[in-house]
Amino acid sequence: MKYLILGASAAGLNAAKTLRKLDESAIITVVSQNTMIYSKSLLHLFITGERNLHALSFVEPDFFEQNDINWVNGVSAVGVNTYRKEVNLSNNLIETYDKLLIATGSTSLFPPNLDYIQDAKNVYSLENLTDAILIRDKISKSKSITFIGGGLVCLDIVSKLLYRGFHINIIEYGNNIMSFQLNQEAAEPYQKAVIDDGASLYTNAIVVSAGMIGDEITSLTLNNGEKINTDMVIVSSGISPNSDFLEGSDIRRDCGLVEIKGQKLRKGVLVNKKCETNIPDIYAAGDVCAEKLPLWPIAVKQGIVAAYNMALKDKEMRSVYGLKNPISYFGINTISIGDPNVSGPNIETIDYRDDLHGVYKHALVENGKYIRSIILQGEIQGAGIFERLIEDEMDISGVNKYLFDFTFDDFFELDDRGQIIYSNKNAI
Amino acid sequence: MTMKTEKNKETIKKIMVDESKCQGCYNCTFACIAVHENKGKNIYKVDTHNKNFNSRNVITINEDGRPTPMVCRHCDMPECVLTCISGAMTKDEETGIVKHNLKKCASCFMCVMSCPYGVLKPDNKTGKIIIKCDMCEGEDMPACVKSCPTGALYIKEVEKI
Repeated sequence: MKYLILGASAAGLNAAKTLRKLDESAIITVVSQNTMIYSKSLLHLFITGERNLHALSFVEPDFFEQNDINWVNGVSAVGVNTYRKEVNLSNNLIETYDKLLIATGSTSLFPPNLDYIQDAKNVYSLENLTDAILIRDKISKSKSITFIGGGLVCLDIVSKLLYRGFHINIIEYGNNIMSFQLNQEAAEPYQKAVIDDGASLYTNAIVVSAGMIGDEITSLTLNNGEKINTDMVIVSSGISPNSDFLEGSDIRRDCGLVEIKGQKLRKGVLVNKKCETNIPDIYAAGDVCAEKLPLWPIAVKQGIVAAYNMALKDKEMRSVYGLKNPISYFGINTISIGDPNVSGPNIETIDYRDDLHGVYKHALVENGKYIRSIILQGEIQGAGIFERLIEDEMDISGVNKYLFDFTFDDFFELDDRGQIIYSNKNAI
Repeated sequence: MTMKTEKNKETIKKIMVDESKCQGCYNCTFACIAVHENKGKNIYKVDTHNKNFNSRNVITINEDGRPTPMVCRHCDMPECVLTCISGAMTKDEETGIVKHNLKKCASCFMCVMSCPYGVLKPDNKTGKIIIKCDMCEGEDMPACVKSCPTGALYIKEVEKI
């Protein structure tokens, strides 16, 4: 069997490894534009100088040899002929396949309301290694750095750049930073740390115009009239699946824009729970897929699920729920699962505070039955059960216990291997 | 820990839990601390006031107020491995053990968020290091199992998959 995988990140490489495990004699080829393997989630550590390029890899250096996988790198797919089962490559060569996995990831999508600064030379968004290299280089030549969007990308970088003599501005549209993950109370200690360390934070703020000299931005003006001088701008962007090369093929995509939690996402390849596309023998996994948030663990799982099905073994996604993030800056650890801004007449709030130990826990429960959001700050152990309860919309009303004391055995039985018995055994 | 049984099937060792036998004595917790934090010293020599000490297992209280000891399951399809962004958490297919490589770890806590058993946590001292069961590598039996006086924690050989 000849397997062809497009893309060499979370989804692509986990699929390749799984295929090798399931099919010893398979011929496996990975084609990627990247000439280096790196974890997208670690790029900020490269920008801030904490890791070198080699320390960004998420697999062993001999991954391809060890798993007997043929890696064609520096090459991208430019078209798929689903009838002849061929992929046209950018080097004018053709790869054939019996089974194809599309795991080409995504690139950044600039927020449409900031179109007018997109082409400025000192405006960046972070999506791939090339972006990271450009940002790192520009930071080394800058004195002031401005972030549009005070989300995780911003905090990942800012938390490491404070104390280093930069003037940092954060322009946040919401009431507080990390507003997709945190309510005001949970964001407060992080905001305090940012401000105490000398950064300027503008909340409820929108950029209305930019001052330019040549092709570089020198200042941004906010909706309150305030003007911020800056050497460079880093914008939190949405994502756009890398699926343009499928144009003209019969693989179903959804190319409209969707807004999830304020993030503009361009939809991608449509897949079912088994990561099958509408065309037999063609699968897709990771950020290239439609109808989901871009999240590393989802990409990994989709890669594995796709591989199982490509090797004719049953496996499916339990969920592609993506509203979940661990947050760890300034020595304050928080886990947020669900939408902290969900509201409604039947939403009850449960709060727990232990100020002495910096512990704050916050849950939003609908109709006394379904947890819609949880924030655990200062004490994050045991968060995993809430991920299950929220993702799978499990009814908690039958468990007579304080919510923050819930553990897995309040809801699940163990099997003869000592592991949770899920209703769908084939799902991950 | 791979071994062959009489039927010649390859097996791995797993720590199993029989919560009906647990008396909540915390021997497993102190034994774990003694081995990992107190360099193998007797459990009676564990400094119970040292908040920097971490146990890799937990005892939770169920609805009826009964204790349940819980140790890393070293899952067949481990959530902590699937969610790891840096390749620090890996599953050793030979031994069945889920290993954590501190050098590779980015302290992002995806694994803490994803472990449904709630056994992973950042360490008490720095809040940056993942505390993770290693099945007491190199020992003949994990300390928690060895120290359990009731048999609530026990070793079972299960088929390797």
